[in-house]
Amino acid sequence: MVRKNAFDYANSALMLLFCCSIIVPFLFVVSQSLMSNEDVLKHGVTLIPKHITFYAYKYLLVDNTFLYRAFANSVFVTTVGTGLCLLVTGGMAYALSKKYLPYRHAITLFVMATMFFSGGLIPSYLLVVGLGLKNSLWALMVPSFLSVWNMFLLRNFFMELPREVEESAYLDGANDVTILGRIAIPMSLPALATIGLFYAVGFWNSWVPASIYLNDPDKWPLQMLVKTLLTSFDPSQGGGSQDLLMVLSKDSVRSAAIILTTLPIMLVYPFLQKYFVKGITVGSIKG
Amino acid sequence: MKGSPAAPADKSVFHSAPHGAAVKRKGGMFPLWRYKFLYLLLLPGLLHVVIFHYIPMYGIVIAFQNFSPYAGVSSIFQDPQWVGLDHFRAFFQSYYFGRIIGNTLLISSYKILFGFPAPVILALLLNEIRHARFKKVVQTITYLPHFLSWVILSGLILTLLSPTTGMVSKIIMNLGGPQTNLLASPDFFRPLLVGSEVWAGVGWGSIIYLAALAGIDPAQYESAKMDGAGRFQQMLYISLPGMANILSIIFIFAVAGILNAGFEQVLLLYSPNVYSVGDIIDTYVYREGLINNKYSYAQAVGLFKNVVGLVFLLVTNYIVKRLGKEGIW
Repeated sequence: MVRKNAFDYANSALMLLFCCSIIVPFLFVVSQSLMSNEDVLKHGVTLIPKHITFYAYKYLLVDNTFLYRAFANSVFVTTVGTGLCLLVTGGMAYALSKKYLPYRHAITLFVMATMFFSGGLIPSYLLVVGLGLKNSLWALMVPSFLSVWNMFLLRNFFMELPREVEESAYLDGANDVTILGRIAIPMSLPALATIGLFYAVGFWNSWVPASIYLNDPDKWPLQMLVKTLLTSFDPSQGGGSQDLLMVLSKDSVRSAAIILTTLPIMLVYPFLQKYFVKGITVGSIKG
Repeated sequence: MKGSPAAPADKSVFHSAPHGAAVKRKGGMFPLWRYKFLYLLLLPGLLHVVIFHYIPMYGIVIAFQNFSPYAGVSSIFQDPQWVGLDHFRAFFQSYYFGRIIGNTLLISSYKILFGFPAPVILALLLNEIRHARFKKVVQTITYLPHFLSWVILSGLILTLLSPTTGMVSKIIMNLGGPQTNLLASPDFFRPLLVGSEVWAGVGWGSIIYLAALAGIDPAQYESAKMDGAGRFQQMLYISLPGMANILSIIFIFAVAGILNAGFEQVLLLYSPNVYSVGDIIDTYVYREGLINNKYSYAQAVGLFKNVVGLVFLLVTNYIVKRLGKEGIW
């Protein structure tokens, strides 16, 4: 064990400080979501609320249903979108990982070119509208079924699978479908989980397509709802008793919505962290 | 066919050979047919690339037309009004041209200037922490902001910076300063963009460098120690060169994306008060195209951005390769 010197202490202190810079803003938001309107106006947002109230959570979780609808929309888009993304991405990555596939090189180039040049926002918008997806939840999913970057990550992983297993399976009379279902997929579950997580987080956090394509607030995902709460929000338009609206602080509702939206990510994040780390380093480090 | 002399008993006749051996089956001389299963797997992705990447590329032509949304999408193809380079001319001569290009390049350059070395330094410092548990906790916390949307992060920023209730304003007022809305002040808007971006991305960005550091042979450090190198010299002469390849690749991507100054972040944080310092190409295209319905004009601006961006990518990759480092192709 190396003896600790001044550098070690300074380094650890710096790391602690940086971690605090991430945690403290969250504590302020948690605190604000629990503060009464009166306290916020009198003292500003403090790290520890003087009086704890649950008005904002009552407004969001008991008196109104829009949060539940938005949550359901987010869950739908995230699960269905991620599943379909994995099918499209996985199929392409698997096929392109086979060195003996004719035209593999040409197809790879054809796909790779889209990473460096695109039509841009306006044509994509017109295309989605032209496909009749305006004001539909599918508009949030269909355009992102294939992330070329994720596809190449996955392809690199498939290429590292041992060829011998596949070849001996052929000799034993397995066909393509069996090999994919019985060998390739089980062997690459961790990689598929990683890419799936990247997609899922992307869907969960996306709001720009929702703001462009969805006119109907009933279809909004959570992020879009929170975005609206941040910019233009009038509590009296929602449900809630007169008494509640008297003591309710707009900022507290906003903060409570931030906390409730972040909660699902916070809950799954510690368990999934190792997959993310694996995903970013797969096939990218060459000695 | 089973048992007939025409069908040999060899299994491989019935299945595509995995290594493209010269196995031919009756009625299937055609490689497309022989590998039909793989092509079937490939098809959805290929269709997606064609529909959502290549068809929008054709949509670029509206930059040279006077496209009106009321005429419908079909008017792009049927009897379009060609106007040549009018929209480009209008853009280059407009007051906004200098402003948004300047803002984009400035914000982006600052983000690279601070955001490129930050994860490298964080990785080097994390690498020096001997206490495994502490290191793990720090990593877990610093990766977190990457998984939160800019909506949530901007909510955090708004809470801290609120001129009436935010902690930051309180501190400034306690120090005798005026009550200011930092997000609406042109002096502070860019530093806030750069700072929050670096703050949110530095942990995640350090992962790849930590992986590169983990791949360095410990014997190198040992022999450096024998030669009397201190810790900083070890970082400088062993850790940094060990990351050289990945550094150059990340740098190419950073410079190639110099015209992407952070669309979502700016869209959420800016307001008309700070358009003068914070309006970037992407937000301008969004406002002109989707809010003001000037599709053709917005497309001309967007096309200009994409072409210049592609040039940036090619030039950076070329220079990095000339310097003898690894490029992205």
